[in-house]
Parts: sequence; structure tokens; C-alpha cells
Amino acid sequence: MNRARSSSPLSWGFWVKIGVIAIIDALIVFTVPVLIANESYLLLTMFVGAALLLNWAYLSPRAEASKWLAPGLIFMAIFVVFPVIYTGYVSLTNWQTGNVLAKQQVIDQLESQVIRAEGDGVPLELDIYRDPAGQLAFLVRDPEGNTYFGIARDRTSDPIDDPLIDPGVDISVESPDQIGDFQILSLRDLLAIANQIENLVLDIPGQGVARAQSASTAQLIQAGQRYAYDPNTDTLFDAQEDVTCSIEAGNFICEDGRRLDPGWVIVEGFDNYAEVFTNERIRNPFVKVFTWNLIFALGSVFITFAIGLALANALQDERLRGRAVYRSIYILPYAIPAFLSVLVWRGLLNESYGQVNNLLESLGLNAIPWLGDPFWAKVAVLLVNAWLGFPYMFLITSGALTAIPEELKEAARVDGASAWRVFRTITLPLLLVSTAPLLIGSFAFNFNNFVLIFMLTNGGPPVPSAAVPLGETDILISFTFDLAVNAGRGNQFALGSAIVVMIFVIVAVLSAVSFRFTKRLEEVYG
Amino acid sequence: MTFKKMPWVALLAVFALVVAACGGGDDAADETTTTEAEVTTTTAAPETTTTTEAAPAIELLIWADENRASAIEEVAPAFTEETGVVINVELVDFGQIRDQVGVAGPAGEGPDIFIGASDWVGELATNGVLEPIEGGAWSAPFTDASLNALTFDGTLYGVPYAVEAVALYYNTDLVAEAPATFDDLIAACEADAVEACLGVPGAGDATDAYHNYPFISATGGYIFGEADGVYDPTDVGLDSEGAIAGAEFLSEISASGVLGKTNYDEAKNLFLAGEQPFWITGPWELGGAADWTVPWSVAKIPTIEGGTPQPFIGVQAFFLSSFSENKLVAQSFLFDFIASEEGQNALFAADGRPPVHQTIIDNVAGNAAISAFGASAADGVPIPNIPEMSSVWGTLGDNLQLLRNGEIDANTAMTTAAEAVRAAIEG
Repeated sequence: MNRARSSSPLSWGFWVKIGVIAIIDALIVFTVPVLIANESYLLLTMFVGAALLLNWAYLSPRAEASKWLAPGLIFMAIFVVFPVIYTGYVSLTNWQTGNVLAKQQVIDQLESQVIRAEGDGVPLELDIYRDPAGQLAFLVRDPEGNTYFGIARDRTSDPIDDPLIDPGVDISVESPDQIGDFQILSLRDLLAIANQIENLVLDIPGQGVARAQSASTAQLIQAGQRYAYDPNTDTLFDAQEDVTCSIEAGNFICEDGRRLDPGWVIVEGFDNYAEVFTNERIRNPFVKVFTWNLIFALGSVFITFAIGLALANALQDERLRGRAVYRSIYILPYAIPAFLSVLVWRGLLNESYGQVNNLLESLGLNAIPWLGDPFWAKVAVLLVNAWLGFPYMFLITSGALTAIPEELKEAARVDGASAWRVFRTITLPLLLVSTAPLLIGSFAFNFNNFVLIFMLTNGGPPVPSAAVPLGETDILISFTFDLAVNAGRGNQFALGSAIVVMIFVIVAVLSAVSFRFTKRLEEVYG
Repeated sequence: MTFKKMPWVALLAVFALVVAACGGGDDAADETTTTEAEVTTTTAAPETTTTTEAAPAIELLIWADENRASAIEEVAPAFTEETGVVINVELVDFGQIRDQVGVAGPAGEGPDIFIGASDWVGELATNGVLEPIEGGAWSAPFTDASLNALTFDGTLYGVPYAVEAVALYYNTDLVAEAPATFDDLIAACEADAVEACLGVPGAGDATDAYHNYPFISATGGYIFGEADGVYDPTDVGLDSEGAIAGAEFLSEISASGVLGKTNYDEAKNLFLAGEQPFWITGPWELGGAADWTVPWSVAKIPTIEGGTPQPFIGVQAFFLSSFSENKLVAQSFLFDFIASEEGQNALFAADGRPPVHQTIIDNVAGNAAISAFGASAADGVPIPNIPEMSSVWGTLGDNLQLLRNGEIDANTAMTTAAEAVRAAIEG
């Protein structure tokens, strides 16, 4: 390409290029401190790697070819490779309800808990005072009307010897604006130093300490935090129960058998994969679900391809008038967001009010329980998917058909072949050579067509007497979604990820085998 | 300039832009709607202003959906005026809040306060994203049921403001008075000679454990055993005698045609078309009731074989994030403003769901529909808020759907559901 030389130093294009790269680099450099602060090192590596790749591709004269590849590679890394790696990573962890935080966050939270004893946590009314020296005092009133006034201290410091002060006036019912040198704080002044007050306590000898909860309320608690973490032994001591808690798989387990929540995320290894194979709740329905999943994916590809091809073939005919109009109409289902048309179909297929059954009944036929019957629900799923998918097939086959040389068909016709024979022996094989990879792609997409199943039937109707929530139209991804998201105790994201990775492997294997097959096709007809 | 020096020119340009970008990086985009932040500070006491004025204004971030946001924005200016604390309300879809706080909080991006429902409490507290809240003077006017629903493992999390439970809508043209017992309801249906005269979601093509639970609980069925507000996930009551009796009743009225095989929309449409005299659902439908053409009223669900149906009650509440850096300020806002009569009034006006603050309950006593829903909720039981509840919805809903569609009997339905829950919890 001669025009590649056009990026000579002084040209306009050169400066645009520099400008764009500079903006991208600036944005990436800007994210570096944020990512470091969040400890997202994987993302950081990817961002910096992408930036270096971009700069090299566009600035080094030797990287002429990678110019065209670099943006594609980067987008693939961000939108395909990263999610796959991340899913793989999650599948190796214990991420589930109760294990979503980082270890330090868990320790911080446990250490902020206070000892709970009998009669503890008495709610108190609170007013806060300050003297000209900046010293803060609490006035607290318990539900029985006992009132205490005294100097507050930071809860981490040592108790003050004689914290309580005699106010000299009656404070049992109302809090005066002024007690000695101390002036009552307005809500505004008080909240301005909220972070300081949060850590203040007033010792009430013989009762405990009063700790501020909000601007007007405090709580009487026993002094002392409940849990203390010892980094040397990596254990937690529970001062209330007087037991030590040691770490087991992302949770503290105490000597008395209690498992403390919250726990944190750890990398567990391949436990989740083992779980998929050993858990009977997943294993038993697998064959049933997998069989329907294959039928659904293959059936969808076959039906949509057949409809799309038939329409494309019909519109090939030059005698047909207004072909552009038909083409536009056939593309319509493709232009409407799938989840919208699925919802519309759900309404149309409703057993008692749906237009489909209204039509059948007006023709004197029986209403069909489209979404409530195991057999008809499967038919409905395939029908709706045919509606959603045929425009795509129509598009690709239209293109491929025009690429088939007319002479070949002409020659066959001259030799006396029927139209069907021409189609079967010439058009179809040549068509498959160019469209087979797309059919495989369509199969892989439909194999995991979660949106359709989730929105149309949500897997239903249910299978009677199933040991797990299982529906007749559930495919692997929707079945396992139910298991992982509505698990025995909240959500099991890690298990869900492991299943997703395994489905990925299944689809990859099936696709690889099919590609092999199309290679053979190419050798014969290509 | 030779070709070889080009990269250096480029690097220089890049460097210049980086410096520029970092310099201007302070004003990060803020998508929140800020209530009047500028408050005139004319009344501050002179001796305190010196210390406080230098500090930047404290801000609270609240996540709420559209309905609730407008109520919060109504009470927020008063708080800002009195305290100088700026309240930012960020609109988040209600269904999204539950998942989002678990992600945003630990990453340091979450709200200080968010709205939510009582059945989230167990999961969020187990995850460590909820801060316990202390009862006290603020909580005295609230109904015990609403506070209990927000209590998990003996600890209170959240300030309630509304309660939801299903009740019986009936068509006053077709039915003279609300039936007290199910026999009355069935008699009214026979008098009108209507097939499928009661509409409850959860049959046909739909799964819905929530709407059908009153039938299971009326005869003594339960989900998890409970003592003093603490649930025992090893005690599953779905195949208890009472639960099976309730399912049996559900099966009978389905088979006899009193109860239609309807999903949510079918039940609603039939009622609004005047073809179905009775409909069981919740107060969220009241919002559109002004446009209904059928004359309607609301009553408690009639008793079943002498037992009072106990619908699930869900309490709407404000929660405090354990990752908030302004907990004392946030609690001041919750206790003194959201829990106050004015705050609760504003929330009721904006949201319209039955209140839980005693003064507001008394104020709306004249509103028959709200009172009926309140009465129904008073009979109800909280949706168990332990994380194990996640294993119940799907399987119970599926089995009740099959039962009402006439595909399995009551005993099979409830034992299958109970076994599935036990197996899921054991893992």
C-alpha cells in the first residue's frame, strides 16, 4: 500500500494519530493509581499491556501489519478473554453467600463487635456539650430516668478516673443549654465532628459505657470489644465466650463449633468442579436436561436455517416484484430486541387469552396449553426461537446464494436436472461450505440461549416429583442458574461459574468436532 | 525531523496529555441528584464556626428507587438545613439494590443508606454488608411485626416504613359482603354460578409460592421452625400435617373449579373485567385502582376450616451499610428524620403502601383498603429472612403449580418440596 507512507511526520493524519494515542494513554495512566488502590492487578496488567501494544503498533515503523490487528485484539481481550479468565478464577474460589468480602474487611467487622451481656444495649437519650477548651461531654438519660453527665473519652484510650461531673442543676428531665462551662452542641455543630463523636464513650461507673449511636441516641454497653485478631497465630479470640476461633476455608470456626459470618473469599481449587460431578442434585437430572438442550440447539439451527433458506431462495427469483419490501419485512424480527419479542410471544401463547389460541378456536380447533404442557412448551420454545432466528439465516443465505455461480445451475438444468435436484446437489452443498461456520456459531449461541428460556418459560412447566427445581424446557444454563443462584443457602456464584466453564468446554468440543466436519466438506466442494 | 524520531515526538505529546488529565482529575462525574446543598449559615454560633467551617460538608449517599426517592427528597432539605449534611439520592432499580450493595459496598463505592425489603436481611447480614441498628426511642411507635421482620439472628437491621401482605379483593357488584370463611366464599360463588370465581396467581403456566402461602399456613403449615425470632433451617415444615392439609384444600377448590388456574395477569384481567368476583394479591395494585371500572373492596382472606390464613409479610425498610464512613450521621438521619412522623408521612404519601408507624396507621384508619391490608398483615408471618429461604421459592412454587393444575396430589406436592429443600440445605 503506497498510501501507508501518508503518515509522514508533517501530515495532518500523523498528528490526529498522535492525538488519539495520547488521549488513550492519558486515560490509561489516569486509571493506574485507581487500579493499584483497588488492588485490581489483573486489570492493571491488561490495561498497561493494551496501552503498550497500541503504542508499539502505531508508533513503531516495523509494526505496520499489527496496526490493523491491535484494536481487535484489545477488544477481544477485554470483552472475551478477560470475562472467561475471570469466570475461571471465580470457579476456583468459594464465592457464595457469606463469603463475599476480603479477609481484612471481615476482621475489621468482627473486631468492631462489642460484648453483649444480659441487660446490655440499653438505649439512652444523648446530648453532647463542649467547653471553650474543646473538651466534649455527654449527657445521657436511661429509660428509667437516671441521668449522667460527664467528660467523654476516646474509646481506645484509658478510662478517666472520675468521669462524671455534678452539673449543679436539675438535668433529669430537660437538658439545659449550659452546664458550667459546657455549651450544648447544635445538631449542625455536632454532625460536623461526627467522626470524632463516633469514637467517644462516657464511662458510667458500675454500669458500663455509653457510646453514641446518632446525634440524639446512645447505647449502654459493656466496655470491650468481643473479638480480637492475632496476626501471629492467625486466629481470633472471642472474649465473650472465652474461646479461640481458627481459620477454616474462608471462615473463622470457633472451638465451640460456631461458624462466624461473614467469611471471606479464598481460592479453593477444584472443589467446585468435583462438586458438579459428585452432587446428585446436579448429576441425576443431567442426562434429561442435556438431551433436551441438544434437541433445542440443533432443532433451532435446523428450523431457522430451513426457513431462512427457503425465503432467501424464493426471493432470488427475478420474476418476484417488490423484493426489497419483502426483504425489509423479513429482517424485522431481527431488529426488535429479543427479550421484548419473547415477552410479546409469552402473551400471544397464553392458554386462555393468547391470540394464537383465539385463532385456533375460531378455526374450530382445541386450545393448546402452549406453556403449561411439557410437549407443547417445547414446541413453543422452538417456534418462538424460529421466529427470532430465521432473519439471521435469511440474511446469510441470501448473501451466500448470490455467490453461487449461475453457470453451474445452468449447466445442470441443461443436463435435464429438476429444480429440486439442482438445489440438492449444487446449491445446498456449495451453500453449506460458506455458511457452516455460521451454523456452528448459531448452535453454540442457542446451546446457551438463556434469555429465551428464562423469559419465555423460565424452564417450566415443572417436572413432577423432581428432587430439584427442574422444568421440562430447562437447558443446562437455566437449570444450573437456578441451582447456583437459588441454592441451599443464598447464592453459590463459584459453583455457578464452574458449571459455566464446563458448559463452555462442552460447546467448544462440539464446535471443534463440527469444524472438522466442515473442513471435509470444503475439501469435497471447495 | 527524521522518520526515526517520530516515536519521541509522540511520547512527548502523550506525556503532555497525561499531565493534563491528572491535573483535571478531581471533579469525577457524579450522577446523583443533589438536594439543595447550599444552605445559608447565618445562625451558626460564633464560637463554634471557627472550628467547623473549614471542614468540607459531610455527604450521605442514599440508594432508592423512584417512588421512595421523591419521599426522601421531601424530608432531606429539612435535615440539610438543620445539620449542613448534604443528602445525595441515587436512583437504583429496586430489584438491583440487593445485588449491587454486595458488590459496591466492599469496593468502597456503595451507599451509606439504601432501601430494601425485610427478606434480604439474612443474606446481606451474612455477607457482612449490613450494619446492625439499635432500637430505642425512635422505634417505640413502630409495630412489633415490622421490627421483628427486620431482625435476623436476634439483631435488628433497618428502619421500617411500610408493610406488604396479600389480601382479598372482591367485586362489590357480585358479592354483597366480604366472606368471613371460605365456605361463605364458595357459597357466594355458587350463588353467582361463576366458574373460577377466585383468582390467585401461581397456576397455569406460572409458579408463585408467595401468593399461595396463606393456604399452607392457615391450617398450621410453616416453612422453617422459629423460636424467639430465630429460624431453624433444619426444621422444614412443608410436609407437616398442617401444610399438607392446606395443600389438600388448595387441591380441592382447584378441582371443584372455585379456584381458577390463573397466572398473575390472568387473575388480574378476569377481576378487572368483572368476570371473577374474588382476587388475592397485594397492596401494590392499589396504585392503579383509580382507573378500575369494577366496584371493588378489600378484606382479609377468609378463614380456612377454622384456621386464619397467615400471608407472608414483607417489610420495606431503610438499611445502613456496614461500609458507610458516616454511620453516626446516617443514623441521625434515620432516627430523627426517616423514623419521625413527618418522614413516615412523606413516605406513605409517595409510596402508598400500608404504614407501620402507629400515628400514621391511626391517621389512615379511614382508608378502608389500606386498613384491610394492614389487618391482613397483622395476621401474617414475616417471610423467613434467613439465606436458606432461597431454596424454598422455586421448588414450593413448582409443586403448588402442579398441584393446582391437577397433576399431582397434595401429599406428593408437599413431601417433594420439603425433601428438595432439605436436600438443598444439606448441600
